[in-house]
Amino acid sequence: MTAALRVSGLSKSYGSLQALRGMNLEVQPSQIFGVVGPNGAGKTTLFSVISGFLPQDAGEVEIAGKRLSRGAPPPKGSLSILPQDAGFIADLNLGFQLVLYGELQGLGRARAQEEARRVLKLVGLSEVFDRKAKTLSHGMHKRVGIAQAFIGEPSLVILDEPTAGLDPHAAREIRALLRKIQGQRTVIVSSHNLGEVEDLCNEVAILDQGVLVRQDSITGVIGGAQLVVFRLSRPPAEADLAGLRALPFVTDVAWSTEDERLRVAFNADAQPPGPASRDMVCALVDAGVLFVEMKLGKSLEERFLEETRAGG
Amino acid sequence: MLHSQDIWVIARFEVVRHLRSRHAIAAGLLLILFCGFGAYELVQFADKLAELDRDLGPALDMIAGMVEGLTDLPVVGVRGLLRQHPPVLVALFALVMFLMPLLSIILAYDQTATDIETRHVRYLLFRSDRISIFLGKALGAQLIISIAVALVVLIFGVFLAVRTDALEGMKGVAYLGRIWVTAVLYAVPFVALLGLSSALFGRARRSLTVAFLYWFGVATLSGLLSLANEGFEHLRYLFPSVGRFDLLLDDPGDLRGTVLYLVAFTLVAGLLGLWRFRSRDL
Repeated sequence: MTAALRVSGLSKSYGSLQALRGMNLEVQPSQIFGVVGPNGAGKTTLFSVISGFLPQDAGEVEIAGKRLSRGAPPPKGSLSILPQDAGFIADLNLGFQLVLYGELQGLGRARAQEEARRVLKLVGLSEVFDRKAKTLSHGMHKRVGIAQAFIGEPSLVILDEPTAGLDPHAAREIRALLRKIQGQRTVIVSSHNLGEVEDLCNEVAILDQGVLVRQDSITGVIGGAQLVVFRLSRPPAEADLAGLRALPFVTDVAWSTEDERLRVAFNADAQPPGPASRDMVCALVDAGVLFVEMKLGKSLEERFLEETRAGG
Repeated sequence: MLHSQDIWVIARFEVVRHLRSRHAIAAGLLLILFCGFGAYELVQFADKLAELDRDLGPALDMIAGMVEGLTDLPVVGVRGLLRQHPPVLVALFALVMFLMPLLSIILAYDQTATDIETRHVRYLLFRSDRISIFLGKALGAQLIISIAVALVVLIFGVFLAVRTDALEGMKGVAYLGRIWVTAVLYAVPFVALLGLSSALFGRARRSLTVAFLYWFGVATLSGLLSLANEGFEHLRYLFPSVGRFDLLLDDPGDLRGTVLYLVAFTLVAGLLGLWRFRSRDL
């Protein structure tokens, strides 16, 4: 199958600062793909090079098997992006601006107008078609930015921090929108909200200091069932954990006051994840400790911290 | 790589964007006021000419003095023009060409600058290539200047037609058309220069300030240095206001040098601007 996006050996420097150092990445079609990394990891630079905002110093970008020339835009209609910090023209109607984008994607004027209205409806902002950009709130601005990325139904959509700065309701709507289009096209999402990436994406890439440190399916990255994380109704006493520690397959039990989670590591070879979890639950219940959430495997956040320098 | 459809779409967008902006509306109103006042003065002038009869010496002296004051054309050339064309329109032509550098800078300084500054250009870059975006913005600026010059010529033309006989029928109308075409073509090197300034600085106000400072700097430097050595007078060719009044002349032979210079200036400034826009991080 031809990859929706293939990046190989991509390098980009800003003076002496190397933002990308021989980055390699491959994204398969029709999935929601997450890109995570600490600030300065190179996420926005990567998207900027792919979209033709910045010419790369070295390396190649292929979209749906077509190699892009250095600094050239992708083939018309093949890629769309919500850039992190782009603005609309303040004094101009948004509808007028969206029609321009549609026409530049090769749509006729009438079709571009239809598309402009359709994508505004998609993000729940039909009423802003005739409004000037300067009258929008930050959240609305962001949603119109997302809307423009769906004009002309491109096969690859890149959303650079689509929910950053949105209130919880708006962020939830955007996540619902992404779930709705799941499977219809390839969407690459970057976010600092790792729970969101974990929740939305099929596959994730972890970047750090301009290189890809890990790319795998979400379950692959989270790392199998070697850890069970409990959210308890109250902090446990040391005696409450004695039952857990006594289980022969348990290798470590640790209560974290930082996020108020109990982490129980175990040897999956000695006891498969299903029975191991059941035995742990029994041990907790026997000790009179109630839990409100149980999660098998590590969270993406933990893996992220382990894989990047933030965890060191 | 080049998409002519994109160039046209962007140019049309730029025209509408400018016409809808508050600044453009304010500038347009000022231009109309200025033209109305200028046209009123020109009508008074035409009335005096009519009283004197333009074939008489005093009438020619009066208008020749005005045109010579505005231009650096030789006296003989000005007198010849005044005999060939409606004198009031020759004066209008000189006035329009006198104002063209200022008008062009005001209308064309912000081609890509605001788009770069606000990063709006990022909404365009993955949809079109940089050459088409740059050329579309330049064409948009050129169209805006064309509309502004048309407005100027129209206001003056209507005033003169209604209040005087200075147009002298279709001959005058054709001459007004020539004024418009010449002024619009003369704006091309300015659009190229301001496209370069816009791409170079990526900030609208900075682009405008630098354009004026550059104009002033070139004029001052060439003037001062030429006092020491006449060869430095050629420095004034770094700004395309040189020789613009030659474009009033009828003989193509008199225009050749100026036209070649303006074409060369356009190519150099335009290609430099395009190179900068293509190579810079956006």
